[in-house]
Amino acid sequence: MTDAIAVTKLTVRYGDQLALDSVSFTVPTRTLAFLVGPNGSGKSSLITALLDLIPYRGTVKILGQSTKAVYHSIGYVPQRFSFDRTIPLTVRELLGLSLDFCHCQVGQHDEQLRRALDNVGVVDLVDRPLSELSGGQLQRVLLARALVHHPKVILLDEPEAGFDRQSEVSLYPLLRQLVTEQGLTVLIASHELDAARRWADQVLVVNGRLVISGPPTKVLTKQTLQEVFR
Amino acid sequence: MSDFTAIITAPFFIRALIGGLAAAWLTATLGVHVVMRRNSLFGEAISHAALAGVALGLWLQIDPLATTLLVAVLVGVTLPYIEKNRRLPLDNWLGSLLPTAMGLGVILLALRPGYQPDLVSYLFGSILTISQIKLYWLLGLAAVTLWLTYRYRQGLLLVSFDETLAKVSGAPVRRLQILFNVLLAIAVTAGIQVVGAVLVNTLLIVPAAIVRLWASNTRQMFRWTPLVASLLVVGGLLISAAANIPSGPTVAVLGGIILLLSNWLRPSV
Repeated sequence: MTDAIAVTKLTVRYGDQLALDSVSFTVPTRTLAFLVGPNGSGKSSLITALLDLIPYRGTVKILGQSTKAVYHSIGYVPQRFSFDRTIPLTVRELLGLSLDFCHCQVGQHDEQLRRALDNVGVVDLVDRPLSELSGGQLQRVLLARALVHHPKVILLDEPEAGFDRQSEVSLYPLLRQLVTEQGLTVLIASHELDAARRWADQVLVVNGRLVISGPPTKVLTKQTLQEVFR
Repeated sequence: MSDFTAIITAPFFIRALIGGLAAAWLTATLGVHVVMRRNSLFGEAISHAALAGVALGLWLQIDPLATTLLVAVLVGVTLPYIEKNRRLPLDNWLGSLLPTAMGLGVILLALRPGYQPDLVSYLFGSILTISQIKLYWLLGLAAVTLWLTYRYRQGLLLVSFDETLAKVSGAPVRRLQILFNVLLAIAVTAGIQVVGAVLVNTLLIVPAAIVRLWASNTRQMFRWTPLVASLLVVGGLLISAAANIPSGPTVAVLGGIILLLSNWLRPSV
C-alpha cells in the first residue's frame, strides 16, 4: 500500500513559540486516520502545514508530490468559517466556485455538485443562501465542497466544532464510507477519542511532537491518554 | 426651453452622463468584491493616494488622469506587500498612510509654482467639466477593466469570498489579488472623475451595500449593483442640475438616503 500522506521532520514555529517539533509519520492510502491531542497540541498547525497554508520546515508529500502540485486532489474542511456568512452566496455558487479550479469537465458541474451534496445528505439545500443554514448544515455543505471535485485525500480540521450532536454522530460513518467504498484517504483532527477508537484505522497522537501513531487499540491506551491528556 | 432642459440637453451634461455611467458601472462592479472582502479602507487608501497622482500630473503638465491612474495602480500593487507586514494590522497601516498620501498630494500642489488648481474639484468630483478626450479615456478604461473582471470573475469571486478556500481549491491567489488591486485602482481612478477622491466610496461601497440588503445570491449582486450605481449617478446629476448644487456630493447624499431607506424597508430575516 502506498502512502497518501508522508511527513518528515515537520517543524512549525510561531515566532519564538514551537508548535510542532520534528514530526514524522505516514498515512497509507484508503485509511481513516484520526489526529488527536489536547487543545494547543498542534493539530490545526499540522493540518494547515499539510495544506501549505503556513510556513514550516521539513517535508510534506501528498500522493507523492508537494501539496501545491496536488491541490486538485485534496479536499479540506476547515475548523471555522473565516468568510462572512451574510454574503448572499448560495450553496450551489459556493460549490461551483470550487469546481472552476479543479480538473473537471465543465458540462458536468451541476451533476457533480448535486452528487456531492447528496453524499452528505443535504441536496435539498442546493439553492439556499449560506446565511440561512444552521451550523450543522453549513458544516455538511463544507464537507460537500471538499468532496465536489472528487479528491483522493480529505483533511478535516476539527469539523465537529460546527456540528450539532446528531450531525456529528453521522459524520464518522460517512467518512468511513468514503474510505471503504470510494477509496479516499481521510485525516481528521479531532478531540473525539471515542469516535477515534470506534472508526479509525490509524490514530496519531500529537502534543507538540508526535507521541505515538498506530491502530487505535495500540495507541489509545490508558497510559498514553494519561500522559497526553493529564 | 427651460433652464433645466437647456442644461440636461447641453453637450457637457451628456458627456458627464455618459462618463458618469461608465465610471459607475465599473466602480460598482469592483465594489461588490470590496463589500465581500469587508475592506472598504482599501478603495479609500487608493483614492486618497491618487491625489498625489493629480499633483504629479499638474507638476509634469500632463493630464492628471494618467498620473492618477499610475499612482493608484502603484499603490494597489504595493498594498499586498504592506499587508504581509504583520507588525501592525492592515487597517492600522491603511488608516495611518491614508492621510499621509493625501497630505503629500496637497503639499505637492501647494508647492507648485504658478496657477493653483481648484482642489475641491479633485476632492469632490467635477464630472460636469469632463472633456471629450477624457470621456474616451474613461470609456476605454471601463471597457478593458470590465472585460478583465468578467474574464476572471470566478477566481476573483472565490478569493473575495475566502482566501483560504481559494488557495486549497488551487486558485492562483497571489496573481488574482494583484489583478484585483490593479482593477480596483483603475475603478477608483474612474470614480474620482465623478465624485472625487473623498466621496469615491459613494460609487464603490454604497451601491453594493444597498443591493446586498436585498440580494439572495451573488449573481443578483453583480447584476443589480451597477444598475443601482447608474441610478445614483443619473439621479444625482439631474438633481444637481435642477437645484444648481454640486454633482458629486449630491450623488453621495442620494446614495446614503437610499441605503438608509433600504435598510429600513428590508424585512429582517
